[in-house]
Amino acid sequence: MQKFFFFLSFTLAFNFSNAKQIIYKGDYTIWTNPDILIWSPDSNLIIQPQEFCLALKRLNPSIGEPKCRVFGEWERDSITSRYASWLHDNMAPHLESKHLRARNPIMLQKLNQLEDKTVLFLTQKDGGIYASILEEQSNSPKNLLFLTQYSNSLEQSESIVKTFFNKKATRRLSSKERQKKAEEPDPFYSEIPKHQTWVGAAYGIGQAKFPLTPHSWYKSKLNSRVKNYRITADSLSLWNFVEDKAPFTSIYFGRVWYGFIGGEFFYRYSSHRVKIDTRDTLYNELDHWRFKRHETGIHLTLSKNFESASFLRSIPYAFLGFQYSFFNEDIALKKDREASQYYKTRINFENAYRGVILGVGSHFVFFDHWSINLKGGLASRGRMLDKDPSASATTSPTIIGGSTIDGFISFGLEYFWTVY
Amino acid sequence: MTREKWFANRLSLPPDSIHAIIDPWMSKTFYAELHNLFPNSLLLPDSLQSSWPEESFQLDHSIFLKGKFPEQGSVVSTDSINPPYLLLLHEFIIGTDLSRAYYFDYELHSQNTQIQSEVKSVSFIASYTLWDNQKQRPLVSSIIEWQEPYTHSLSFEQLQKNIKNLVLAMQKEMAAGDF
Repeated sequence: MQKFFFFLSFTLAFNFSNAKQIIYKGDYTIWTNPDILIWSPDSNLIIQPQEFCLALKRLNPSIGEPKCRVFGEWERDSITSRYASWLHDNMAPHLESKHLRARNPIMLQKLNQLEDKTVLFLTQKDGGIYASILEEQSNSPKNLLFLTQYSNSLEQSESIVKTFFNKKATRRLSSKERQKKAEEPDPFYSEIPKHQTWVGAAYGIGQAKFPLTPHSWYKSKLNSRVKNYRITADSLSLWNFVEDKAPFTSIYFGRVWYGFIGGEFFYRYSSHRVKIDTRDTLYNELDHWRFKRHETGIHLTLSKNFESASFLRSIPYAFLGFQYSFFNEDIALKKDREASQYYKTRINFENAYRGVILGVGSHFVFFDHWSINLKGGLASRGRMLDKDPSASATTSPTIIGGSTIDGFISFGLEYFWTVY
Repeated sequence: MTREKWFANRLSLPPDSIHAIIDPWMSKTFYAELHNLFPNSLLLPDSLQSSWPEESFQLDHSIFLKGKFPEQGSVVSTDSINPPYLLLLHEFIIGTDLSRAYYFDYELHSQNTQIQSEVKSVSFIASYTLWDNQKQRPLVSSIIEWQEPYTHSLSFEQLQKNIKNLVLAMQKEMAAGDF
């Protein structure tokens, strides 16, 4: 029993001696080959700079060759020493970074002039040690730690290193790099282009089946064949008559105002073979039968500019618009063949279809002028809704291709003009 | 004091020299009322704060108090005394139908208010800070407002009574402060 109590008291004492409390921890940088300046308002220094450097090198291999010294300049300066004694008076548990803000403008200036040096503030108080890091661009200590005091300076250094300096170190910038970074324009204040104009040509593929949708939605349309030049299972979609999957080419021009809102005018061409049953002897007379699709339309785009690199600007956008589709029949019989009765009474498409086009895409503009465009979306073609219903609407035949939808992707090359 | 003419008429003072009369009277009355509540208080000379920089102090997301605060790390003292706490009175405004929001809330302070011909109340607004002199940090900072409905006449006695009310409200606020 006595042994147990001895053990208990020993572990309690051990735990207490290791007690450390992170009061708050902000975002700070550990540099490779750092200059660590130890700053304290106390008359006797708790840790020896050399021993702190040893602890750093031993516990954080990424830190390189640290240099540690006492920050004598700040210990002699009246403004910094006043702030140090104020920090000593006011450091306490349950504080936030804003509570320890430096108010004196000269003190703030001194903090800003630290560049990439790290100041380690240490002070003895409340039977322990308060430690915190100050660095450039901060108006208060970045973090605050309370730890138990050790008699050994090396042990004390290790306890600080283990809590504050265990991150991976980042490379210090040279004075030239630093100057360049300071002079670099802030992209936040970059100019917004007044308008951007482009012309382009694109090649793409369209098909009825949209990715990630079940095949059963399209099965009946895709399997449908045209019998006797006009008969299909249903005629709602043109994909019952012609091949849906076809490459298309497109030319277009567009313009965007203030990098945000704009429009594009486009023309697309593709050719679609009619899905005939080749085993049917009726079609022996036929040389070829296809429909050439011409589409033209306008869409509204909403876009946003991103300066991805010095030579590259990415402009993702979404678009929504309308289009007109014209199907031009291209049919011919074999040489010296008479047209059959079925041929003469073959199917006719509407003169024009109107539909909606929508999707997303992105311009990637290289060196201000040369651009690659990727886009994808959905396009529909339907009957003209602005037609007056005829008096005999109920008896009139169904319109062929009343709802023809396909999805598409395209790759374009463009030339860009940007006016600021 | 705003609307000097109005006050000069009511208090029968010459409008040209109303500030010369009323400003010392106000500070004297304010201190006298304060001394009644806190008999141990002492009045420090204004010269002490001449070197302090003027700072703005955020109370709320849009409410800022502007004033002079002692420097970080240096304890305010005179030759003989070293006070533990300081009460810093930054501004003291007397006017008619004023709201503290028009002075201290930057979201509202640019609003133009119409001067009404009919005065509904006399307003007293004070911004102050209770300062821990040993640790050089604020304990309580506040902007306090007192509205006195105006009937027909105004006298120094009435003003004094209201300053007393304001000081009592300040005491209440400071007593409720968590420090």
